[in-house]
Amino acid sequence: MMIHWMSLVFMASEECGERLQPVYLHKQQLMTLVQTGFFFGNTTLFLIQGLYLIVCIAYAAAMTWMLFLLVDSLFGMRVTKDDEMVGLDLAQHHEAAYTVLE
Amino acid sequence: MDSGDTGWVLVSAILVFIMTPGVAFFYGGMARRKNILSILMQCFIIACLISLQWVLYGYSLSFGPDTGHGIIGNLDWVGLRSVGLQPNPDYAGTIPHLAFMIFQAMFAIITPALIVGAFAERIKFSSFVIFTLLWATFVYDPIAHWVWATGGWLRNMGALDFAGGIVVHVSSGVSALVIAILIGKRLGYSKQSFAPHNLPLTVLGGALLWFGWFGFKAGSALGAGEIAAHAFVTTNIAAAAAGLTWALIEWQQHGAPTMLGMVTGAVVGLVSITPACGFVGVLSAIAIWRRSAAYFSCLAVCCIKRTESGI
Repeated sequence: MMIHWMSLVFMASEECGERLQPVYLHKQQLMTLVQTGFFFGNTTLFLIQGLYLIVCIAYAAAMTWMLFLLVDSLFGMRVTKDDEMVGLDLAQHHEAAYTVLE
Repeated sequence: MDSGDTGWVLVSAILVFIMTPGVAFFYGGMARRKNILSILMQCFIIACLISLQWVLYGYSLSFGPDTGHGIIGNLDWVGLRSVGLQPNPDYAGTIPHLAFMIFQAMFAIITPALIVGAFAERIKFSSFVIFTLLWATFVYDPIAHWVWATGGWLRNMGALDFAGGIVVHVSSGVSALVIAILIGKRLGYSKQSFAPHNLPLTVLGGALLWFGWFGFKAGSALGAGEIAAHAFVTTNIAAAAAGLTWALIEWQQHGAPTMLGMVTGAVVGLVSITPACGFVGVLSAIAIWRRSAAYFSCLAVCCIKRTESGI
C-alpha cells in the first residue's frame, strides 16, 4: 500500500512538474492531482506558488499605496472630523438607518 | 456545450453575487449605528460600478488576448466584443463564453468589496468610488490576468489558484492593510467604545457568505462534476471546523463562546480553504482549518490593535 502511494506521488511530480496548467484548462489532469495528493510531492509547484504569493503581495501593496496617495492628494480620502463625528450615513448619504425619535 | 455545466456555473454566479451583500451586512453590523448605511452603500455601489467596468473593459484587460508579455490583456474584448454564446475552450469549453464572463464578474465585484472594512466609518464616498475604480483596473485586472488568462506569465509558469485565494483574498487583504495604515485610525479610537452595533446583521452577513461560498468554490470547477462536488464538501468542512474551533478557543480563553466569534471563525475557515478546496482531502481540510482558525484569531487581534483596520 505504502509503495503504491509513493509511486503515485512520484508520477505526479514527474508528470506535472513543468507542464502543470491551471485548473480551467485541464480538468482531467487536476483530478489526477487530487487523487495523488501532489502537494506532498511537487517542489517545483511549491516554489512557483511561493513566487506567485510574494509577487501578488508586493504588487498589490505597492499599487494600492500609489493609488491611495494619488486619490488622496487630488480629492482627499478622509472625511472631515465633523462628518466623522456625525457619521457617514448622514454626512455622506443624507439618510439614517435607525429612527432615534418618533 | 453542456447544459448541466452551464446551469451550475450560472447558479454559482448567483451564489457569488450574494456574497457582496453578505460582506456588506457582515461588516455593517460591526460598525456603529451611524455608519451602517455607508457600508451597505459602498458594497452595493461596487456591485454596480464593477459590473459596468467589467463589461466595458475589465474583462478584456483580465481575460482578453495577451498583449505579449503576460502582463495584461489587450482591448479586443472591450464592450464584450467577440465574447458571445459560443464556448471559449481556453477557459471553459462546455459553457457559453458569456456565462464564464459573468461568473468572473462576480469575483471582480466581491474583491474590492472585501476592502471596505479597512476604511469603514471614515472615507469620503466620492474618493472611495474613484479609488475603487482605479484599484479594480490597476490591481485586480492585472493579477487576474497573470494567473488565469491564457498567456498570463504566472499561468505559463504553472501557478495554480483554484478559486482566487490569492487573486481575491490576498490582494484585497494586503490592500486593506495598506489602506488602513495610510488612512489612519478612527477618531477617538481607544478612547470610546467601538462595539458592533447590530450583531444579528453580522451573523446574517456571515450566513450569506457561507451560502455564497459554495458557488465561489464549487463553481470554480466550471462544470457540474467531480471537482465541484469535492470543492463543495471541503468548503463546508472548512467553515464548520473553523467556526467550531474559534468557539472552543473563546470558550476556554474568555469563559463563553460568542456568536460573533463563531461566525468570524467560519468566515476565516472559508477564506483559508479557497485556494486549495479543489485539491486537498476532506480530512486534511479539517486539520488544516482547525489550525488556521487558531492562528487567525491571534493574527486578527494583533492586526486590529496595531493598525486599527476599522473592522
